[in-house]
Amino acid sequence: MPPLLRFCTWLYATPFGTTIRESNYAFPLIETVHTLGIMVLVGTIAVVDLRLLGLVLRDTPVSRLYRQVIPWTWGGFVVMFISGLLLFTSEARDNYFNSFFRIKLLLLILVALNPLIFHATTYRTVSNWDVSNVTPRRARLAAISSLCLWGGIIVTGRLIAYAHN
Amino acid sequence: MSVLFFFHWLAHTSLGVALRESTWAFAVIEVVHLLALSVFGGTVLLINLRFWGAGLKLEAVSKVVRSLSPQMLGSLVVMVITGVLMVTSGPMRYYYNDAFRWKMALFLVGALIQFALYRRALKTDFATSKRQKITAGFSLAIWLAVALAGRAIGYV
Repeated sequence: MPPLLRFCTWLYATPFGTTIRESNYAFPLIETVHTLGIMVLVGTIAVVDLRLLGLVLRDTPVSRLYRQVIPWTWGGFVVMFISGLLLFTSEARDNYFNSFFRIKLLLLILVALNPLIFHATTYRTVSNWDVSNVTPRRARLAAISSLCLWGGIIVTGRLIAYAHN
Repeated sequence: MSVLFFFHWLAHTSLGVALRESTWAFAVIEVVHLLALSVFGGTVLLINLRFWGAGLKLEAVSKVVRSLSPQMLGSLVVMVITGVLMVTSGPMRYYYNDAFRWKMALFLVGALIQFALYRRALKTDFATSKRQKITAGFSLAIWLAVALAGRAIGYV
């Protein structure tokens, strides 16, 4: 058995994973938190992305908007990460074979890399274009990537349940 | 012409029949509903948090509300359209669903309160009154209840 599958099977069978999976209310409850957490995590970063695209809050400097919004985005991320981990534990073995889950994981890695690259490069010069309506092309590219990747993550996340046969 | 009659009528429209017979239509519509919810929820959160001096706290309330309202309304329109389509695919199932009825009632209340907040906010700069704070907090609670009722539809 491949080591990753062995790990997922082990996780799936732990008392922790089993309890969540077999409980009448634990899984729906955690899943609800995970679904609603999307609004905090993605909903807030979407405003930053839209600002980078010059579509909202145009007279607010980008860095100032970012500074105010990002703590909430991180808070949302913590909630999503924990609830996602709990959900995964209870379904680990099934998720291993689920194509939608695999794609979602890949998209999550990409959506994490996107801001890392952006902050290491284009964002460094933000003081030059902070107040612009039209931000540098790479900034707009990062914003569109972010929106598309998060959209893909939400879609594949929803479709996970459809592939459970 | 009652609501029940309207729901019966919806079920027999060609749109209703087509949605019900399609294997993928509902899933696609639901996903779009979810995507719009992500945008709507984030916008409503940031708008209402502002009344508490949280989130976009450095910006004037009127600016926050004026700038984010198009985004809020746009995503709301998408949610209403996709919501109507989902109900059309099986109206009677929703008509008799308690969670759905609660959701619709709460949605109406939430929309009214949010609109009332909006009107007052256009004239507010930085300091918010206690009444605005309470209303904004209540509004967030209502929207949360709408979301929870939506989740519950599949379980009741």
